[in-house]
Formats: sequence, structure tokens, C-alpha cells
Amino acid sequence: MADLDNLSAIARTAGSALKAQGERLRVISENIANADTIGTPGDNTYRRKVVTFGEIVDRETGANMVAITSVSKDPAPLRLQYEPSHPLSNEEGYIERPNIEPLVEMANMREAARSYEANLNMIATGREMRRLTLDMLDK
Amino acid sequence: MSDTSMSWLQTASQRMNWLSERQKVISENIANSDTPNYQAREVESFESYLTHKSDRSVGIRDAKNEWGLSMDNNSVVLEEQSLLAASTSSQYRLASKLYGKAHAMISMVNGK
Repeated sequence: MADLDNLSAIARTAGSALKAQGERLRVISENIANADTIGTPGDNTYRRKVVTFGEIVDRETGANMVAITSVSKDPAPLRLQYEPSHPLSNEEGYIERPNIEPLVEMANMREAARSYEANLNMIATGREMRRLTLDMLDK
Repeated sequence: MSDTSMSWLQTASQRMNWLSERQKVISENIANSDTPNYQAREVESFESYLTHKSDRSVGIRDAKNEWGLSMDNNSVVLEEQSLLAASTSSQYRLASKLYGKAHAMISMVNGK
């Protein structure tokens, strides 16, 4: 029955979004955790990671689901800081800090959490609709 | 037999089919609310769905963009879609209850 197909597609679609948003939250937590991971200039200092979402079509239900298409590194310049006494400083006395803004990460985190919640609600709504359909069998 | 409760059953079932398709499209919009370049979609109106009865599938088109685009060229507004999902769900409840009533009326005639 087309109804139930659509209703299970809702759960699959929202589920794919939960997975994608969860992964996004994980990457954000990596960024925040590494906000103070300093390094020697030119020596692979931690760069902010950015996730990009893309649309994918589920072959089973034909639903347009979502998935993470890439986790790339933010090309924004790393911050140099003059600290000659630091063991990681280079000959000129500079160390390199990651290009992470904790406030941006926080805002990003809130947005991911909000989308996560919206998709959870969608699963609950889909389940309620399926229950209504199945309740019709009782009569 | 174009009995009233029979046409009820048919209309209610078409309504439920349309609503479930609509809810599917809304769930896709919500899932893709952070996908760059994604255009929000919507289903055709119930009236226009009823006019092409022979074809059971519900038409889907890009939604008119009234709330503006986000910076990544995405036209989904989470709040708008959440409202639509809630209203679709309650309309589905109405249609399924209506179906149950029509069925109860037929059962009554049958003496059950």
C-alpha cells in the first residue's frame, strides 16, 4: 500500500538526517577539542574540519535522503603567534594556532542540534501516522 | 453503487494517500534543511490530485520560495516545514477517523 511505503520512507529519510547531523556534531566536537592544538608553522597544524551535506536517493523507497558528501579542511589561514620561548616555535619565534573560532563552532553545534531535533519530531509524526493507519484494521 | 459512505471511503483513502505523500516530501525537506543548493519541494494541491484520478501518483514540484534563501542557497525553512508536518499529521488523523466512520456505517447496515 502506497501509504505505508511513504510512511516508512519518512522514517528512513529522517533517520539518514539523524546520522548526518550526528556525524556533523562529532566533527564539531573534534574542532572544539582541538581549538588549542598548536604546532610549528608549516608542520601540519590542525585545521578546522567542515562537513558538506548532499542529497542522495534511496533506491528502496525513492526518497531523497541526506548524507555527508565530504569532510574537508577549512582553507582559512592559520593564526601565527609570536612566542619564542615555546618549544614548538620556529626559528623566527612563531607558533601556529588552528583556524578555529569557538563561537562559530558553538553556533554550528546549536544549528546541528536543532536540525537533529526537527528530524526526531518527524520520526515521531511518521510513527503516529502509521499507528493511525494500522488502527483502521481494528474496526 | 454510488452510495454516500462508499464515496466517503474512496475520498478518505485518496486523502490519506495524498497526505502521506505530502508528509514524505516534508520529511525530505527537513532532512535536507542543511544541504547546499537544495530547493524545498511540495506536492500538488489535493484538488488537482483528484482531477487526474487514473494516475495514482501525486505530482511533486519545487515550492515557491517566499521566505528567502539561506547563504548556502538552500530554500528550506525549518519552522515552516514543521508547521506543515503538524498540520498534515492532524489532517491524516481526520481522514483516518472519517474512513473508520464510513466503515462503521456500512457495518451497521450489514447488521454487525
